[in-house]
Amino acid sequence: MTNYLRFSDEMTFCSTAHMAGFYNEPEGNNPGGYIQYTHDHAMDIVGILYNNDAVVDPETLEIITPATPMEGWHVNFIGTLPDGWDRLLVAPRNPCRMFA
Amino acid sequence: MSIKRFFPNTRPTLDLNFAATKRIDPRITYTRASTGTFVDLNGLIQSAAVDQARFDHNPTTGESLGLLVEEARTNLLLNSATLSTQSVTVAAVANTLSFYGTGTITLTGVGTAGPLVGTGVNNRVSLTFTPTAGVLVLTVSGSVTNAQLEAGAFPTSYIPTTSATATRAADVASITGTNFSSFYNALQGVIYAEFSATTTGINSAGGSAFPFVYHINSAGAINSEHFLVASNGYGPGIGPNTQVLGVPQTIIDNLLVVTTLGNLTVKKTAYGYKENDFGFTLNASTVLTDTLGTVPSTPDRLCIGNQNLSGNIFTGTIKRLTYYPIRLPNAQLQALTAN
Repeated sequence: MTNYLRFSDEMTFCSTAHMAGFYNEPEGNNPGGYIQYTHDHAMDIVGILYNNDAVVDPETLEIITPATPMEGWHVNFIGTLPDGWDRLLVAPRNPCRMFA
Repeated sequence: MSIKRFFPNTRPTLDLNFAATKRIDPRITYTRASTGTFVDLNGLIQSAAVDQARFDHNPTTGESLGLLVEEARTNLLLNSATLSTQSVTVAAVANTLSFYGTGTITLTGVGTAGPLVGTGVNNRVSLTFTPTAGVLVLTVSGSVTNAQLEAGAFPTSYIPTTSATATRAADVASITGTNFSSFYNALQGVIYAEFSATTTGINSAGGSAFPFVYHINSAGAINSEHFLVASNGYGPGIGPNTQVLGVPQTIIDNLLVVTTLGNLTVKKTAYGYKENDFGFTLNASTVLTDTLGTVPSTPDRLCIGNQNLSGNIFTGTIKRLTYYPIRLPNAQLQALTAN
């Protein structure tokens, strides 16, 4: 089951993921970064989501008004949630992005 | 003189012939947190359930390519089965657009590469480009089916979407515990790997330049390991490495053979290790050797197509992965990897 999570911003997600052990420090050939997949979890870092409200000129196909961002920093997660992450759960009626 | 003498008398203690068996050995733990697709023997796209391994085929010849291992990717398009004109928010990174059919996709907005023109109902065409960040408009004409727009410098297997974008999770495979210790010899051995790299040597996630074909390491000793990378970090090329507590044991950090990646040609590699006796060859090329270095004593797992079960995921197919518990002579490394 996919857990839809919303952090307040990218920095908050970064520090929270680090504390939960989902971040590797750079070392040797390894540039470091989020541990997004193991046998026990999958974490899809969606980031900023946008509303489907961009306005495109139908004649020229040029962008008149760009899409507006939604609130927060979004992550889809499968697996056992780390302590405290349950308070970040949201329940989108129509998720913009999901696991296949 | 018989050519037979160049081949090993010792039998491998592990022989994962994925292309021939099209099955996962029961010693392997395999997971993928999402569904995935692959090309079957008849060139048709098939779906695999969550945690079901995929065995891919050449869409033209039907050749069995082996175990399909891919990093995670997201199809940014909606209703991808039969595509209609739509706009998508993209980042300023390499993106790859692909589809089947005879139609055309024209890009406007933050990207103007292309157009991408289809060549047939059963042919997949692709276009890699780097837009600026913002809204990309895809205008569709004609028949465009099984379309995909993904962040990354090369196309991966098709990810169907409907009303939402969809992410295929990474394939994670490993052998641990007694399943590992029953075949592995810490003092010496040879790892044979036969594979095709879809990756051009750079993962899309995090920009890692070191996709791992295999990784023999330990949970307890950091960076005490043997591994093989299909890397854009050096080269681009293919090379092994042995480290003990983070100290490289080979003459250079990687015994790398420069070669083209991402072109789907089959690479056959053999890497032998023993204290003060390392050797590596790609497709029977001259064996690169090193006569100074120790070997890690504590490995307890084999990670297949990933680093340490958690990152630097390889993207491509692994036809065969074989392990011999002795350091075979260099001539036999060449014989194993000859066509």
